[in-house]
Amino acid sequence: MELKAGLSGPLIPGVLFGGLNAATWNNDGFYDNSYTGNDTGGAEGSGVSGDLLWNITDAFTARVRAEYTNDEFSQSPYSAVAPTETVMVPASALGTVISPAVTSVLAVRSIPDGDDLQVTNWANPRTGGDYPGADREVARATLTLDYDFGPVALKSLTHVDNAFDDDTVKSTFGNTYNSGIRVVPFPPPFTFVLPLNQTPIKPDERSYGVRVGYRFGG
Amino acid sequence: MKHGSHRAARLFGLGAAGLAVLALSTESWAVDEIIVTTRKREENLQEVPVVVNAITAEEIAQLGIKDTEDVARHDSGVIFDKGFAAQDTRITIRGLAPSRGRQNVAVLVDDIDIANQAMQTNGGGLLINPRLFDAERIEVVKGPQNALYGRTAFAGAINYITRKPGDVFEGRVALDVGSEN
Repeated sequence: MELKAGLSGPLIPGVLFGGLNAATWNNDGFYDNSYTGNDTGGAEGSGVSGDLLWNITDAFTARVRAEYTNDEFSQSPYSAVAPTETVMVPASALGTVISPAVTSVLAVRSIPDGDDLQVTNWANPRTGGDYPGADREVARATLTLDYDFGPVALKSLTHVDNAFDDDTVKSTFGNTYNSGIRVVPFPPPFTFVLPLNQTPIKPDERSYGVRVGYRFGG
Repeated sequence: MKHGSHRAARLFGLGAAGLAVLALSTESWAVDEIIVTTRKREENLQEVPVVVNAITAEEIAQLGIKDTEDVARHDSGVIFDKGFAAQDTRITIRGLAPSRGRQNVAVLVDDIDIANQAMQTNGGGLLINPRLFDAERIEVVKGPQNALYGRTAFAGAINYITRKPGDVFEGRVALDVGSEN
């Protein structure tokens, strides 16, 4: 759901103009987390912007625009894809590139369709619900000065902003296959995991919707 | 006589088709002029010597464009790639992906570059995907535009032009609801 509204017009006719816009939005998220039963991949937030335009002279205008938005994002949906085959490590690589103990790795030949995957973001053990997602808070203001000297036009842009973004990945994923593809290229402790069998799902669909707009004045 | 009537019918048909084509061509030329400010001055979109895709206020409302991700969905040649973390974002124009370091597509609001660099991943972080609630026009410029938009615009630029207040009172209200979104 998104609701937005705006109002603009002259404050002093021909000299000073103002505008105000506001919006609020709330998307639950298209996918269901199979571990918690909650929607995931959504976002909610609100924003407001204000605008002043001053025609100082016919050739010189000043515009100030300020904006503030605050968003919260739930976790992105994530799914673990089961390995489809075992790939043998070439004998020539054993002992030189890969540890002799690892003679094969599990691999995924092709990623299944999104409809065949289940979202497996693990639940937060402290709350039983989903892990928190990300927060974003942005405040910005811009001063634009336009000078029109006829053959030459000058534009001055001055901008200040303050952005806060808390996006630490706090979650873990339900994936029982990682242990099968552990590869040791060098003797321990240089151990890492190939993320062959993980893929994020990108929610961008909805079943149906209604979009209406109304404009008055102008 | 039979052939003659056929010929007359054919001629009539050709004439009607020609009039229809003429009517269509007349209509097709009646395209609204779209003014863009890609080169820092107002120009007709059809006369700007750079590749620009302009999305008008009407299209923004009709298509429900809300952020950079939506812009990429409606513009061929632009990809918005997002990983698991919300800040793990990348804009790719014409295949030039920022596989390392800073985003290589400038994202501007009224000519101010708001693109940044993600701390943990390559690409642009959360700020290159702002929520658009007062955009009047979106200009997607493809190809290197560093001279116009600075160091970030190596692959191109996405410029959001916000709605300026005018000398006429006007108001707008819009609601967008849907299921499973």
